[in-house]
Amino acid sequence: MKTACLAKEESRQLLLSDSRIRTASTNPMEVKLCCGIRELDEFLHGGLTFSTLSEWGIPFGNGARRLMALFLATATGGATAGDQKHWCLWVSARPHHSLYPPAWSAAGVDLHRLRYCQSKAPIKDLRSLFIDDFFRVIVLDAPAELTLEDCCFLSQHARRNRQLIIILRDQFLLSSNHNVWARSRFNVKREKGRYEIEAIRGALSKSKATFAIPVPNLKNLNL
Amino acid sequence: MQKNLFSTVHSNTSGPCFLAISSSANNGFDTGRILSPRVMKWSEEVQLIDLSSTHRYWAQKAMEDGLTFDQMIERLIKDYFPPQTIGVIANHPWQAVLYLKTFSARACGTLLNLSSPFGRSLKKDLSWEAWSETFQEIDDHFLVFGSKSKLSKDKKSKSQLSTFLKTAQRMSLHTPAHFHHGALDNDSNETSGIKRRFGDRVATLWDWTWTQIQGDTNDIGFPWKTQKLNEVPSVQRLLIHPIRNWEHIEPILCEDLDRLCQLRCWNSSERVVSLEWELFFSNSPTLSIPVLFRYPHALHREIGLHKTALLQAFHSWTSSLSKRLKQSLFHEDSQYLENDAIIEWKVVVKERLVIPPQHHSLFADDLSSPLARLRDLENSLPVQLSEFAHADDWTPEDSWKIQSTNSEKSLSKACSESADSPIDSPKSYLFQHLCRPLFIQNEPTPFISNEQDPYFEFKERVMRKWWQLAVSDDYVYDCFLHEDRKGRLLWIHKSTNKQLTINGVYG
Repeated sequence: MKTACLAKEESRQLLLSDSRIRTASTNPMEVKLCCGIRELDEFLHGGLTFSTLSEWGIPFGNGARRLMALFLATATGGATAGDQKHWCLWVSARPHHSLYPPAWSAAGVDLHRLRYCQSKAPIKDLRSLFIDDFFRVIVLDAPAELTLEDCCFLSQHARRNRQLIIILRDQFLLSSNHNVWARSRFNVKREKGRYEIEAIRGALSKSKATFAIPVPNLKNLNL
Repeated sequence: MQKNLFSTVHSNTSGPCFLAISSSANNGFDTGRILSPRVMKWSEEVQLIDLSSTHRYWAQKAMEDGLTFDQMIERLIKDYFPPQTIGVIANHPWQAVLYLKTFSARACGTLLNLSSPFGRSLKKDLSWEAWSETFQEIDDHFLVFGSKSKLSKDKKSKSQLSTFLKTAQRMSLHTPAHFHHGALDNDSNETSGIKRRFGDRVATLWDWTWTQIQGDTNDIGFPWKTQKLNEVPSVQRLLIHPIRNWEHIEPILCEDLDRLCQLRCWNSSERVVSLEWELFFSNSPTLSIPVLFRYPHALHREIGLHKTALLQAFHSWTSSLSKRLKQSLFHEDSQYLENDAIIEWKVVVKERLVIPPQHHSLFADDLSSPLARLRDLENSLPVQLSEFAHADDWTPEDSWKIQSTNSEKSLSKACSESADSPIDSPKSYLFQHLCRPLFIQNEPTPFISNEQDPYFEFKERVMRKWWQLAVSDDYVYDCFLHEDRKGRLLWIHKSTNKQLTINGVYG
């Protein structure tokens, strides 16, 4: 039994250490989406799990939304298991801000597989998208009108369609007002150039990790 | 009202929208409806097609087949129109018709896009004969158009045209381009001078000849008249009991859509662009609800379920009802409107693409293709899904666009499914994009700081397109990253007169 556990752990370590394999999971039924930052992927035990709803507290402007760009880069760029490229959807409720696509592209996102829309009520407006499995990764950025029933709906369809649905909030999440439908909940803070992620709910609850979001090296880009 | 709704909600008007086709055979008129439901008979040989409602669809089809939009239209003309058919595509219906004669005289190709370099050079070849002939043709249409356009009231247009041409001849201005100094510049003084001397009609048509106008044909005063089809599929429903809730409406409407599909005046190869759903209430005026599809929709394919049509009908019904209630908010009848019930309705296929029998394979969509699936999904949404693409430009404002698949550059990237790297932008711009934020503000806001000496990290200096600016404008601005007291990473622009504005947020 001990040997089996060690072998399992070793194989997981081996998978994580190989930078080419971006999906590391010992459970063949659980496909994960990683972001390519080693400390964060290790903290997340390989990445965010498909078929789940995940909620993140990231104040707008602290720079941590770049993590989402990295997750989408993995999803659209074919670095998940089986080299599959996924269609991704970003839904924003911000009336005064839009994505700046070249920056997302520079972060690695394939713009051809990314769609964007503005909606304050995503469940009402985009219901047919959640029911369909076309978009494998959906990010709801600061949705204004999202009730617990809506989160239940999202969670059910994420499971059914094997999607990853991420809700981003502009304020830190509290464990007291927990969203029971989100399998994982995280807060990301920034201090002195480094980021700290704290798990509010899930298997990693109350654990923390720090990491830096890398800026691509110009030398590596062969300019 | 429906036309305005169309152009603002469901169509992509960022590309040229009007196609003038010259075809010797009469059956060219039926074929025009392959491209769009809005076809106007300009003359015996010329028809004008408004592509605004189907532009996005053809642009996507072009992308799937590895073509540009223009190449797609050219292929459709060659495959489905009679031989010797030629066409001109332009942002303005007048320009499309006007330059058709000049293009025809050149006899060099099937399709001309007036925005292309060749199209722009062709403007210099426009002759007074072509201009006056087209002027007289539009005169006839203004007569038919009646009082819908203020230009129709100009009764002296023929004599004014004659005076205008004589003046040009007297001044030895051999072509309209000579008359118009710098044919691509819009000199408002020129048009007002022409209006003063030669009248409203001449001045307006002169203005239309040179300026880049886009918009609904009603807004610009063009005498558009869509050719009506002989048979329009429609069904009527008299309700046994009045109803008001969607849960009761939906199954009955689904039945009516099935009945619509079974009518013999149209067939399953045709594609619906819009439906009109007219509701009759027990106590209030009729409400006409447009049910619009972003892409031509195969209604027959969803017989029994009509998921897409019902979703769009629901979105339109909800927004129409709430608009109606808002308008009557202070009206004494508002309480009746809220509780009013539907007693009857009529569903009409308002606009559709009509496919001649020999061309049934044109819309044989491969539903396994991701883009076809995405089109189907988008057809059921009330909001638009945008796709972004790079533009070959160094300025932040112009370095990207919402994908219209109308340019060859974006097309080549869009077609590449197996790119070695997901980074598509030219490498020379990559460094700039790395320095820029993930989110931009739609409108810059002034930057006000309480700090005595706020710290700014310099990112880049951007030179504006000085040739498009007035002499007094700033040609250069600097971009900085600034962290405010709330910890937000802001993208700040500083102009040469030291004005600071917030233009973006670093996520």
